[in-house]
Amino acid sequence: MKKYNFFTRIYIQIAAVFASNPFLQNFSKGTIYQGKGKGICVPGLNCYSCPAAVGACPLGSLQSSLASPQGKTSFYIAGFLVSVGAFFGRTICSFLCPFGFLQELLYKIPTKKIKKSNTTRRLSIAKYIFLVVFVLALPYGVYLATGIGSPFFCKLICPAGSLEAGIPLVIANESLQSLVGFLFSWKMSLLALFIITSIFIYRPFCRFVCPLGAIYSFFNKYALFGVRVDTAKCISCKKCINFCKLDVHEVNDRECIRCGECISVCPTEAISFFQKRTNNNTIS
Amino acid sequence: MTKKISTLSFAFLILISFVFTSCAKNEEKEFAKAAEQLKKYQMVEKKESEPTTQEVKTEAKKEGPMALDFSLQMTDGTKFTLLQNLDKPILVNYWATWCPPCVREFPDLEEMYKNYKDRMHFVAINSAETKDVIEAFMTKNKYTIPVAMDSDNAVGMMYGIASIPTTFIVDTEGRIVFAQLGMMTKKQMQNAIEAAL
Amino acid sequence: MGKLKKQMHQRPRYKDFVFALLFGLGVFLLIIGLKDGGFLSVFRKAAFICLECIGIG
Repeated sequence: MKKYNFFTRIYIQIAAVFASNPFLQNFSKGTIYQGKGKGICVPGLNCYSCPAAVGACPLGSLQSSLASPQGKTSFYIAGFLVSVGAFFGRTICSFLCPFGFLQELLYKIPTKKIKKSNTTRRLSIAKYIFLVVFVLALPYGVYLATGIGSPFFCKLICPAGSLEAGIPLVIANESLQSLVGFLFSWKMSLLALFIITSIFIYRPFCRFVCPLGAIYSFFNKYALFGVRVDTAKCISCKKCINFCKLDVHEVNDRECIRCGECISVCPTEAISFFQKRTNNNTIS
Repeated sequence: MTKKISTLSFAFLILISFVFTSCAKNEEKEFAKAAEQLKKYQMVEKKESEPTTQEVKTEAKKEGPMALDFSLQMTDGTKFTLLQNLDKPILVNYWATWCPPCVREFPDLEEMYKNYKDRMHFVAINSAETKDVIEAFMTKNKYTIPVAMDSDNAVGMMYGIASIPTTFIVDTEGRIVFAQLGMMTKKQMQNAIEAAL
Repeated sequence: MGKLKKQMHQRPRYKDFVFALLFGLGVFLLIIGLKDGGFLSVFRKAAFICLECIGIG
């Protein structure tokens, strides 16, 4: 059985958190980075209103560009998502997304866990609905109806924004404290919900809500970097699928976040990140 | 092989963080100064969020800091210099056409302008947009409030404005007597204006 | 890079083709967007705190 070195992934995840959020000094200043780096999207879910953030959240930028369209800005963002997706697919979720990393850390807290089931499999469709409704239809629809839309996913749902932007900014700015109202309480409640469920359920936001994961999931089958199953070696024992904490039907389908943890349970070493040299044309 | 790639990506990502942090150091220093100043300007309002005129007046009596002077091109071709217009108090609103709360408070701002323009100067400073875009917006919505163009965001940076809309009122001595982040309701605007008059 | 090349030979051909197509499309869209001021547009919005997004106003 091939031993998969778990520790390598966590280093990349930690590095990704700091690469997306280098300006830690801004937390005490209660302000955000306003330099040119903010014109570049980061691949994972990281709010651009986070004090330490260096880049723009692709979801936030997408909603903004639909809520107040300016030329072909949405092409720029879509182009980023497609290029990065084509290369990595959901490998981004398991390696580069800070919020995904947070959920994994919370899951490590030792408690009884709620395992995946048919229900969770069905629930995983919800993220596509969040994508279409809150990220695409509502911002653009409200723009068409009233002349300017709003980033509705960010505004009503995104817990990443609440955690890394909402909380630090309100704490550090007296003037913002007096402005908090119902919406803020709603978002804090949602954040608390996601944090608590992440302790008992593995990556609930990623599986059931994240529109970014929904976008990247379409690229999994074709993306260059990710997990592969050598069908010549595969004996269909399904150990990988059973071991996987996500609602996959097969390795590298749309639910797979390509973390590679299944590699260590495959009895025939059929799964790997980079295919070992064989003479057969038998990779799925 | 996997290990090599992961160590490399780890190192690469850490490197990016350092590059960005050091590149931004200079910008950060300037920005930090301005941000500190604006922090002093922001008055804390009561939670009920519709402070009475009296409450705003009392807050304003505390010595607000002097407003930093600036000069901007207006859309009608004239030049606006803040501290040369102190015959009346000045309401400054910092906005952009792509910012949903700014656009939503604009009708109320316009109404305030129409009602108070003989007793107060109004200037809506637009952040880094072209004249065409601004004029298209103003014409389409039939707004008449004077607009200044902060095309390189210099005034915004100077005042440490990190979120828009931001509204502040300067009294006839050049002191900032009111400041608020975020969208304002009509009542809030009215109270603030009445207090400054 | 060598191992990567071997890997590409072993994937079913059509997948490489779709990847190349998608990546090409992505880069194409990126460039069109950039040419039309996409970078500045994203930069401006991301350089300000989105108060709406953090639940205020």
